[in-house]
Amino acid sequence: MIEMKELDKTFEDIHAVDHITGTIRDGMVFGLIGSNGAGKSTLLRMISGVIRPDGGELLADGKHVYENPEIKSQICYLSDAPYYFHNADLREMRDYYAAVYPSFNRKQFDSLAGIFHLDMKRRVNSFSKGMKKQVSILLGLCAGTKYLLCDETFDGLDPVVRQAVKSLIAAEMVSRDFTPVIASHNLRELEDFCDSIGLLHQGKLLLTEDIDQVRSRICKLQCVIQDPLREQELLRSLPVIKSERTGSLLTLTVRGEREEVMHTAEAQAPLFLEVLPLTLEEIFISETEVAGYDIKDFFLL
Amino acid sequence: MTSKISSYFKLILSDIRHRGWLAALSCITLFLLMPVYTMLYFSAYEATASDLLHDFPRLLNTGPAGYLSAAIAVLAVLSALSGFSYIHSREKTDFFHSLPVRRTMWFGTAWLSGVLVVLIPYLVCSILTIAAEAVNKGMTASLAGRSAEAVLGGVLAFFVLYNAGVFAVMLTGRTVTALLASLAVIVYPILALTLGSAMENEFYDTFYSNGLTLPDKLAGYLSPAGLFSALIEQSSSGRLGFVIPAAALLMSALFIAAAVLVYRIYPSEAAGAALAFPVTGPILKVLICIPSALFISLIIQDLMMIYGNKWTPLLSILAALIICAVIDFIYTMDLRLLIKSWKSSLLSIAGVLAVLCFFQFDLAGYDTYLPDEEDIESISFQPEPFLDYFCYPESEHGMEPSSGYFAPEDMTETLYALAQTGIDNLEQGLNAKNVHDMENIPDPMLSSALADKKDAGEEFFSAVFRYRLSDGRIINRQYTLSYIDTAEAMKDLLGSREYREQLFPIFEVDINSVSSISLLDIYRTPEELKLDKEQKTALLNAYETDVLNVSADTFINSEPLGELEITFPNPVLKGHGTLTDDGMVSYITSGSAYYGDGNSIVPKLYLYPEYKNTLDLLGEYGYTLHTEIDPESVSSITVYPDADTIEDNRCDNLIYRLSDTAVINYEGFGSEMSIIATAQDDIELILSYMEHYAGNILDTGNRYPDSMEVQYKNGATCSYSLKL
Repeated sequence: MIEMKELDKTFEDIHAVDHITGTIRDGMVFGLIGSNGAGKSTLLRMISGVIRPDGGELLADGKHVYENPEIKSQICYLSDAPYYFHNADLREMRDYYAAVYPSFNRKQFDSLAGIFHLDMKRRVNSFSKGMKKQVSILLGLCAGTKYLLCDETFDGLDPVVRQAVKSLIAAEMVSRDFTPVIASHNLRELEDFCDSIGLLHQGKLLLTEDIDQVRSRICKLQCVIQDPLREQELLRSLPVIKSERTGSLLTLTVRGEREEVMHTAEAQAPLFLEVLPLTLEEIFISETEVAGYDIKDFFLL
Repeated sequence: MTSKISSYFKLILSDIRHRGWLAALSCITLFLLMPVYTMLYFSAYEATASDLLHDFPRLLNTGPAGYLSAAIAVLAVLSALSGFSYIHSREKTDFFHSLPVRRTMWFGTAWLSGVLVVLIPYLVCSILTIAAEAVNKGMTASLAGRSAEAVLGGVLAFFVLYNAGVFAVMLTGRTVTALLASLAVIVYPILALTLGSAMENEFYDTFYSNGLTLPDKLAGYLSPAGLFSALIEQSSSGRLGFVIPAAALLMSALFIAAAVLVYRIYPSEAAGAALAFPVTGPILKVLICIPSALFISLIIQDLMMIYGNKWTPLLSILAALIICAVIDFIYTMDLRLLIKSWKSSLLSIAGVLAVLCFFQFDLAGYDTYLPDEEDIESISFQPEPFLDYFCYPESEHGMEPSSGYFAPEDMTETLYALAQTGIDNLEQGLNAKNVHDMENIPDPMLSSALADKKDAGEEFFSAVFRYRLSDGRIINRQYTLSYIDTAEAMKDLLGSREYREQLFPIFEVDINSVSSISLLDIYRTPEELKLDKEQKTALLNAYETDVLNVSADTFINSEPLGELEITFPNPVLKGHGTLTDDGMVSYITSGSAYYGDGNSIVPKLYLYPEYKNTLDLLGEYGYTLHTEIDPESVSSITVYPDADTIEDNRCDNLIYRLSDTAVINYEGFGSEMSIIATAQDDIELILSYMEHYAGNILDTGNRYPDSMEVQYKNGATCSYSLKL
């Protein structure tokens, strides 16, 4: 389990991570989502021990990560811009990882490289961007670490490979103690893959919960209520995050259980009523809007 | 543990493999500059074994025209930069620092592979070079030892710069900045330490240094550049002692320790920024800017041969502005941000101005400083004429006598008063820097008293005073003294037997060990005296007696008739020098470099008419001194009047009286002239103008600036002073 307590990091005048407290539980796929510059990469770099937090505490399995090779041997960090040695081929990169990660699985790597049609003798730097990402993922998976931190790693992968990688991750989770942490902008990718999410905005962690719980706590209500007084009563009685009107159709993003929201809305005798689950993207937009990051601002520019 | 060691070696091998370009560069450069150059060098080399001992070790660390030492320096810095450049790249930092390896281990890996990648080629090329020498010229034990010493010097020199470079890399976040930081770390200490002496020399009229000031000495030990230079120089000349290698190892250890400490706290997010710790930016800027600006202004003036310091403030401020702008640009890489850190720029310029004011207005009272008489243990006094008058044998202190001229305690008062006249002269406008051009000092620059003395033709010269204080410190000052004041003081000083024994070179010599004595008179042709040991001892004893017994007036006012020149086996040379393969002695110390059979020659043991004991003994042994030149022995004389003599028409009388056979040549638009006389009458006439054999103890040589060259019929040629 990775525990973050009041984790803080500032770069000169930029507060990249602002007193974050949260937990990444073992055996789950953790999705880290956030706006650009939200602090996702900084957080992953701190978890992987690349940078030292200015304040707070970061523990992996109860131990500090920074300059702790014992625990770092259980964490593999895949950067958004993976680095490969100049002129190195796959075998050399494999051997290097094997030299530093005690549980590195060479056979698995060779096998997966064949499955992904990656030429072991070809220089990695001559690979396409997507292939480099594949190499990075394979190295990370075969490192045999408990935690795999992926920073925008799925970007640049074609849909088939992306699906294959997800399958690989799922298989690893079944076969051993494995906890992937995936930071991505592609919320649809995470939606059907992550067990829990952390939502970062301007260095702050807006929420961290199981994705099912998040979905069950926020829902979208569409209704038509003829009586304006009843409509006002409905708006007052629900914790509305966002409200939109199209003609007589009122669309509300509301915090609360689906059944509870439905029950409250039915009390106002609507002509039409529907309660829908939110997509992860909608949850992201809603939550960040609450935190002052309004997508409409982009259109006003 | 085995697994860890195995991983460590794998990482080192991997690092070396990824720095293959540097390994290739090292191999090619060193191979060309060492074994290949040595083969070519020996193909056209004809020299003795001792020459080989002198020349070959240089091929192992200095190379042709110093290219090898330069290559070692460049490879050291390149190795440091390439080994740790990963901390300057976000991608590489993310990769390396996320791996389960401690930073200290990363450091050890990169550090060791950086050493190996250069030193293995260097050692291999050294072996090949030595083999090439052995095949071509043969190898002796002493040459093998000297070769090993030279290689050790090269290794240590590399080591110092490499570790300085590694430390510099740790302070920065970009490779370009790291390169500049390396230069700063390597050169800065020598610049900062020698700046004090340079500024004192520039601004203080009484400044005197024989190159041995404490900061100058420290600069050699505390700066990587100084140590690198000393290691290469000493090891290639077989003088590598304990101190410099120990200093090199200590400095390397400190750099490594500092680099490890900094690396452990190095922020990975600094990759791509100019400095690892931005808070140090303004501090480093000020620290670099102030001494660099002052140093650059001094260098520019030196290169342009501008004397005085009137341009120093302007040049220093200009240099400070440029340096601040360059540093700010390096920090920000944005021309628009050049004035962003104006506060530190202002502080730098203010610092430069403060230093300039300190020296310009002599706020420390340097020039007028005279230690309290109670604090002075003794005073050493060396007027300029002594340099021509005395010639000392090689000693442990170079060419200076071991006594260092320090006068007996009871003479301190006399010298203190004389030093005071020097300060008075300084305050009246005359100092050691302008005394040689005294004729051209405008009268308003001098006090009326000094101007009157100048117009009356009174002679002045510079003199070095060294005050040995009771706390052990020695303070050097240089003043201008008048001939009259100095002569008066000299009468007092020479009244002391102890002072004479310290001052005259004959007392530096064990006269029983003298192997030969030569006599020179007006003809200046050394004639070895055919004397047995007892006669030599008796003659030199008589000479010592005369030196001690004649009055001070003899040295100050009388003129020598001739001189003795003695040769003796110098125990200092044999005790401290290096014996070469061909049986010669090599001895290098401050101020002199000796190479010979271990004998010292001491000339200029002048003979005065008052030296009755010596002259009588010489007569007894059948030697007489010629005091006049026989015109019959001269085939021609060439007279070289001084420019002032020509300008003042003081040679017209001579020219008028010469015969038509005399040839007068004008050069340099009439400012230079030579008169060649071959007729007997003309020779007699010119010889009548001859002034003396040699000057007295306070003679500056300025009294009779005209000279002549006498060509004798026996083929010898001698120069003499004339009074036209």
